[in-house]
Amino acid sequence: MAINKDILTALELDILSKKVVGFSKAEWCEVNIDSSHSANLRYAANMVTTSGSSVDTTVHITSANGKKSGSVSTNDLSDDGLNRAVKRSEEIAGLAPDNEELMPPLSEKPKYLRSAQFDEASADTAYAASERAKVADKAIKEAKAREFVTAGFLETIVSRFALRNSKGLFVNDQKTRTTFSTTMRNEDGSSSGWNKRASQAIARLDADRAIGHAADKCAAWASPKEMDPGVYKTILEPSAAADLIQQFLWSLGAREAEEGRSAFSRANGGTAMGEQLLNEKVNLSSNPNHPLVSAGIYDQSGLATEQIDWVKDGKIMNFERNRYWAQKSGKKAVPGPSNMIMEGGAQLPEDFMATAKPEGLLITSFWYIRDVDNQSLLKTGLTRDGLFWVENGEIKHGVVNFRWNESPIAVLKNVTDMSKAVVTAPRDGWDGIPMLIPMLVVSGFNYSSLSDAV
Amino acid sequence: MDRRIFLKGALASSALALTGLDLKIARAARMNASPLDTNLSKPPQTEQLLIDQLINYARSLGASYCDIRLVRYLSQSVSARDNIITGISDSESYGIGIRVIKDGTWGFTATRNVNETSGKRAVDEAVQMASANAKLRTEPLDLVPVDKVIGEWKTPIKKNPFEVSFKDRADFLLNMHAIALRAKPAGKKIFLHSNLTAVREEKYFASSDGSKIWQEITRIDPSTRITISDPAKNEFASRALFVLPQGRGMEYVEQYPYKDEIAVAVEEATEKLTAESVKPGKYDLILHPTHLWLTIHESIGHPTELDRILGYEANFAGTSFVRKKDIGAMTYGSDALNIVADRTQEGGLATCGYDDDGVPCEEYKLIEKGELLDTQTTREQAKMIDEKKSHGQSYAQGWWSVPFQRMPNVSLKPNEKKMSFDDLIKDVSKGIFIKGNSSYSIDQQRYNFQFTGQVAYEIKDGKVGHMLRDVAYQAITQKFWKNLEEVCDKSEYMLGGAMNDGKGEPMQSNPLSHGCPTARFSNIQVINTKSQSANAKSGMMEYDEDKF
Repeated sequence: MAINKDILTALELDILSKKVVGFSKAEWCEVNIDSSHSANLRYAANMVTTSGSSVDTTVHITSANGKKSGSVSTNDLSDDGLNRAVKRSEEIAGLAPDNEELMPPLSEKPKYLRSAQFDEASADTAYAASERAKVADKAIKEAKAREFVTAGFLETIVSRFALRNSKGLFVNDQKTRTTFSTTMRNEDGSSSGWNKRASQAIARLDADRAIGHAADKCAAWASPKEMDPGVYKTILEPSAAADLIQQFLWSLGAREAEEGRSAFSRANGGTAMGEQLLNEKVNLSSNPNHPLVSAGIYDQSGLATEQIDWVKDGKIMNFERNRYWAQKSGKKAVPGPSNMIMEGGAQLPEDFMATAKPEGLLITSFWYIRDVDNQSLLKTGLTRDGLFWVENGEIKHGVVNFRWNESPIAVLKNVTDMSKAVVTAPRDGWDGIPMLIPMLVVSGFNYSSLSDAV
Repeated sequence: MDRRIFLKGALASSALALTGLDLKIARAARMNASPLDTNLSKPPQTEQLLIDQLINYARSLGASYCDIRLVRYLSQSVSARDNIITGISDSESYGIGIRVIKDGTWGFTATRNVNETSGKRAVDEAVQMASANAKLRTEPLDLVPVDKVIGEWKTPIKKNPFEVSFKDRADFLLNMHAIALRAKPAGKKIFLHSNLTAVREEKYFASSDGSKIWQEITRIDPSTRITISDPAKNEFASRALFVLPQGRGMEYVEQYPYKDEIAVAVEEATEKLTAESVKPGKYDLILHPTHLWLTIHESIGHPTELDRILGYEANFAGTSFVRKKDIGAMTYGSDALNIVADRTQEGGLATCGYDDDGVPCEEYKLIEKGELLDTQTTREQAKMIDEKKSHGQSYAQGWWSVPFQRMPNVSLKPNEKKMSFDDLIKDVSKGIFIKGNSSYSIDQQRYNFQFTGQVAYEIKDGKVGHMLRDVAYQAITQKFWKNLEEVCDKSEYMLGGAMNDGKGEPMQSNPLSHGCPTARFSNIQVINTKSQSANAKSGMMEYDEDKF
């Protein structure tokens, strides 16, 4: 078996998008098509629970006359269905009030990078299904061997997608992505460990190490000690650091900052751009062509994604800026992050722990991070699946979980050291965005109250 | 306390929101609708016959059970910012989700191609998937029985939102924004964001048990957020309207007192900029239904989900502090705590006639006088705890998703005795009154939570006083509910809810509602959110390792 037959080919995307634009009678029309197959396997209580697959193609059409626009999505790919969808979008545009912020579609094709986010082997549905089953089998065997109870999830998404507008722009791409996360718990539920991996290639998941890490964390966390809430030196594993750094990047909107309604706003229309806001060791960027975290080459409006510095030496260098706000503010449009890269140190996390010998609370993972105060970017959340007290780079004992209240701005300001960046994935949030993030050591992190959760 | 006396105070205009406006919001949020629109959308007969054929095909391949949902999912949305409409969209998605049990294991496939060739291919794949994964099961799954059902159900709505023109919906939002823009305070900037989304599921369910069920479920999701900024001071504050999604038609939006609330909300967002910052400590909390629904959701709705209790969500959404042995044997809260699970509640977002296992929906008690009686179950899970029947809590967010246990409407019963808001607060010497939901976070076993509201007011000596800012409260679930002292009567009862409760892998959104009256909790820990970062705590803005 090869790629799922119901996913459109590049040629079919080309033909279908031409057909849609051909039906258009509006001043301009833009169509985004996404054709995807998603397949998963889920296990819990040391056995498979649900598994499933779905295949769908969604056609998203925007039609506009003057400053009026309307959008329609459909998965009816028949000629009649597509024609109806185009007409419907034109009818809606006719009813819509003028939108002064409506931008015409791109008329010149940007210079796109070469896409490298598709792995041929992972797109093979039979191979991917077989690999998922093998990984689940290994996790369950490991759990049984160590008298743990495991739960986990594997998902492979294969997609092909394209954008065409009536001004002549056409771009298409394809990607594969497999994610794997697994939890190991004591049989009496008194300890828990977790790990997560994500890669465009199943072969690069390194699931064995993930299973081993989760089981080792569960073993090490047993009989955790209570510590008083307060501010502690803290070591964030790459996945936990990714959870917080994505929260920082989500807030880098130019409009919000310049209108005075973000943590990066300053008095009378100023912004934090160029301020020494973070520790000078902090460098955050996106680069779709990075070999370890290849990413999308265009955004939904057709803008080319490119190498971009978000933070350089602790100073904000760029805000995300859509085409309307770019025109209004006389600046270049900047698409959002295609991937998330934080420059790290020289040593892999394990070696870094052994040589830098950091001290503090080691956080494996966060849970339920939510906004508390947008003015300071204060978030709240909990530690989960492995909180440890570390001395001289070695785990001394598990620590009962905490609720915390902290700002990613403060965390990135208080970074004192970091490992080499590694490919990682946050527990929650930007699951489809590849990330290369180091382990971080921060001088202070605010733990607010105790949680008995395991 | 006589709130009318308070109205004469310095905050009279704002305080109006605490009286007349609250009553209007409450009326809109619990109104009854007589169903005028009774037509039920059904798929063409040929496609219903195809579903029968595919179920028979699955059985011929050895599936011991098969159900198929044929769903058309419609979603229409209008978005506004300040004085412009930023987007109008109309989405439709159609497809089938096929679920089988083979060799005691689930298989599930879904496709947009509703025809015999693709349908049979999808059945083949589901059956093969189940067979291949059976070696990863230690015991075969089983379902509790359900009677064969031939049934129909439709959300009772008066005015179909899909038949209201987009122009009227756009004008509605712009007119409401115009009121707020006129109320902008001098020297400040105002930002408005609104959205009005209507969704409809047209769902045909058929199973190898012989059931055939047609349902049409309509939901409406309005939201508005106001932000006021003070450019000179570089400060901003937001206030979301208390309007929340419901399982109703356009009549809900039209009857909601937008015009009254929007002007009050502008005042309250402005007042937040200069309000007194709360002193941390223990307070009695008076929680309004526009806030309390979410606390119920997180600290009662989720811990009583059987899949969490049994460890099936251990890798993502989490487990529960409630253990299997606690069902029927745990004191969850005080005598005032009476909780029902109910997919039949009018206006509820989870309300429907039948769940996605084909089980008729019902109302039942989860907690009575503080004692935990029951949990939320599906056909598969009921079997695991030796129950004879399912409570009907299986739901999939779309044709493309596998059904699993999802939370129904879970609601706190009002006081059967007369208990007004004034009665509730008259003996409170040091308290805080919180309205609207904002930040919410709870751990993976649902012990420790932290919430904030849209607005908070001091309560002193039985009277509502001035606004407080930076208020968050933290509690441990059972201790919190044991500190529930009193709830108001049905005159203060309202239905809150959300469209996007997330659970499962891949994560699925579940719409659901929570009804409750205003309630009083004693001695709850309140923190000040402005003092909650390492840098804020130490007063340190520059790195100094020795301080830690």
